[in-house]
Amino acid sequence: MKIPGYELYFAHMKTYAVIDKMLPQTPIIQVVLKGLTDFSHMMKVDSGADFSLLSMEYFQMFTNDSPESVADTPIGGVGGRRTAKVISPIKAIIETENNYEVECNITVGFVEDSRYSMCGLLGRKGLFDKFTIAFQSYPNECLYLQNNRI
Amino acid sequence: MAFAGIYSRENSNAGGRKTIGHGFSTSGFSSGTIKQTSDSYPMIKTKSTDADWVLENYTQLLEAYKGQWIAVYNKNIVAANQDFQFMLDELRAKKTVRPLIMKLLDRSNEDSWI
Repeated sequence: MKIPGYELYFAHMKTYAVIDKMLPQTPIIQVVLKGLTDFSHMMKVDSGADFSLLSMEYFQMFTNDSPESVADTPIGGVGGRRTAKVISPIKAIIETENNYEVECNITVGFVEDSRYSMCGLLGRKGLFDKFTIAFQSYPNECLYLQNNRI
Repeated sequence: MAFAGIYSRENSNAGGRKTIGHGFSTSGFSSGTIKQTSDSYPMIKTKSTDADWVLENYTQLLEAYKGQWIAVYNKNIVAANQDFQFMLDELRAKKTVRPLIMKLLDRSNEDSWI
């Protein structure tokens, strides 16, 4: 079931303590990614990332083409420069209680980096331009998403 | 109720956009008072996910599946393998709906994310 507009969506911040000792609360949400085979993945919401990132293994979940058939896109950040294979759009769904689904079409870069094999990055393209997003650490750790279409 | 309401802004015309009902404003967060309200948009909570389960049981799962690709469905490991393709083949044979797929890494010594 899809939610009509103007609703406010809410997602927990996941306790990621074992993984990020220094940052026990990290804005991680489980996202369904629609591809050749739909699957769910943990994604860390990153407002500083232009678009989303997944490790290269997931590329085959979205297309039968080989990664070599897709042009390299240079990307950079505090972690340095590298290249990514970019696919856009990819439909991402946040599932909620009562079988609601929050949908958006995101842009995803696939990189040879095992750090993103456990938890991907959920960047701005397709998400932050659709929702107003607020991070809250106190009194409760949570993440608010509000549909921008007003 | 743990999350009784959402945050709205008062006097928040800075961005020239309207506050939506009692919900938090889309006009920015640069000024104004943030106030918690209870009569606002319906709060829709993300459902309990397999990611919750993985993170809650991370230490035990890591002991059993460290370095493996795993697929989780309804709080059960439905496929696991060192090789992504083998894990995927096993998973597809089971026709699981929207399983959580991830590689279980020991990231306890990883630096903070910047």
